[in-house]
Amino acid sequence: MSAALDGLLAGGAAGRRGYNHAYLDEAAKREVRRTLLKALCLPGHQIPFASREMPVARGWGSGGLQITLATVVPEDTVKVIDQGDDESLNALGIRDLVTRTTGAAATTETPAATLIQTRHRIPEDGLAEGVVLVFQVPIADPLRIVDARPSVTRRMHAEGDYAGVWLYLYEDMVHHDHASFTHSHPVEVEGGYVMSPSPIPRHDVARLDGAPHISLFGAGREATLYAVPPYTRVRPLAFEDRPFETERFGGPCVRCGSTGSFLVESGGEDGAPPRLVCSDTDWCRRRRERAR
Amino acid sequence: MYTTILDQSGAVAAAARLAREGAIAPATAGEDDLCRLLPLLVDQVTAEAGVFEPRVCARALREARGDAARAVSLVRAWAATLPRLPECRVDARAMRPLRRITPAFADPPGGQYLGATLDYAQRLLDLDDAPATGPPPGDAVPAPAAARPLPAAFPRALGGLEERGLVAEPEAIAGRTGLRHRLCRAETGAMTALAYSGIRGYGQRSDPTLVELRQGMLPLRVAHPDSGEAVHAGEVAATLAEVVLYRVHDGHADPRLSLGVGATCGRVERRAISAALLDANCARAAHDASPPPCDDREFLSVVLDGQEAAGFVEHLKLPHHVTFTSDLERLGALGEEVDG
Repeated sequence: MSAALDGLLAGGAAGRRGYNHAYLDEAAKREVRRTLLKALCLPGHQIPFASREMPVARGWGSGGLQITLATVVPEDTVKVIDQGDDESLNALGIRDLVTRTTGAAATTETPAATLIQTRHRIPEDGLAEGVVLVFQVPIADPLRIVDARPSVTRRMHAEGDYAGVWLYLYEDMVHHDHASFTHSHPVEVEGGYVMSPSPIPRHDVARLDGAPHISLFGAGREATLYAVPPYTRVRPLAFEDRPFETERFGGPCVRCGSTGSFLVESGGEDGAPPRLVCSDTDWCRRRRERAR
Repeated sequence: MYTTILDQSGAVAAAARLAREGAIAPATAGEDDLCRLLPLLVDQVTAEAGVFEPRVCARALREARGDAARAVSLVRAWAATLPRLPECRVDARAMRPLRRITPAFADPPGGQYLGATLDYAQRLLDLDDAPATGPPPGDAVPAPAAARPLPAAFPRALGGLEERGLVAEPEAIAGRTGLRHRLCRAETGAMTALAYSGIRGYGQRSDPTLVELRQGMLPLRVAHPDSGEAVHAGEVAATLAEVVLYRVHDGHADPRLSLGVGATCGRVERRAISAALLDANCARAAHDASPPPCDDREFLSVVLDGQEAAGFVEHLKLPHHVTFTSDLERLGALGEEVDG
């Protein structure tokens, strides 16, 4: 993609400019892997790590990218999506960097992927055991809404003091009659830590529960990693008499006719109302191909 | 000596000479060269100065040895000596677009046009020496097969939301226009930091979405000083941003979005986005009793001007031994009281 990358790759995998296989140096990757192991042992717990400056801007997936680069092996097949779309520019840049610095294969097809880096979606296909799903996380702490100071919220997590976030939800119910979380709805992981699922829609939050794949969450700007191991209980915070609700749409996908997927608006040219289409473009395409 | 206020020995001139030692001749780094080499730095100075005169701003940057704050100071002081023409209003819809993205919508009416941007290029420092010919390495992206020509105008991406009644009517908030003017010229880093503090959680819970970002040239039409007829006076490079905040207005529930608008001279896009965020924050918090800094119109109006901030912070370099003597005298007196 960029001439700069061509230049540094020209010297082979070792990188004639001193860049390493998978871009990061070995010590950096080892540190990220150690942090990930710790995160998997403490589901939903935010673990600090030495977040490096990456060749993407802070807030543009630098945390997810560090996880991906520390995790990827040459045998992996890598898929990168942004808002469900493989062709989004940010996703293309990250996929290019990952595959070209590691030799891993790239794919857009979810069933073929073994490692998926995502921004704000979980692919519609159920992910199999062994698949690693890497989330890009802008705000790691679900208690940020209760208190902006990390020193305060760290203590709350340590003491299991989630009264603040429950009160927040309660006040939402009283004032607005529903939870004001549209995405990023906080979840309780295996009866322990409360965790932000990253800004995925509620449709996807519900799909984290008991999922067979590994979920790894990276917040580069906030230098924090966390994880959900396979087959882990992930419950959106909700009251017994006011259950968690996922998004409802006004009709099926106009392209593939799906009624069960997450839809986004498209078009609306010349006064026509916008149309609803699948946000997971690969899933939508495969459905249409099968229907033919 | 530092305390030489009267400069009897020519110390000021000698210090300035020392500061310029080793500088290359102005002819070697001409204004046009600087505009081409550092276009966004020049744009930042035009925006913070509030004077769209890129060549003058480039000259100011050179004379200020790259200190943007001093360059802005030079440009504003220069512009203050120029006669004022009658005010003219610019219609944002008349912008000749060069770039338009709509993060809120994948496929908006009118489409999205990346234009010139390094946003999605990987941030890899190129350590190769630049080739003798050809474009600089950062821009060495293959030319697109066939770039779509930009349309002459775009519909507002917000239009559809407004038609559906999803955007709160703009409230007549005292001082909102004034704040927007201040944001337009605000210091880039300070404005970015305050906008960041809001989305980082130090403001009210906010969930902003950038609906549309537009960059292009705004045509200026002014009344001719003699005939009074409207004449085309040129174009100003500008960036416009529209942000909406989800959910709460004025501390109570409202099912509509709060709109924030940001504009800047030049192409430093984080300026327009930051301004739009702060404008939206202040609109939403207009009736709050004690808003946090990033939602506080008065606070933002006071602190965001880079000249005022840099000037007052750096004035601490001036001699303060008289006032400090008073401090010390009082400390001594207090000490005696304690000891006594």
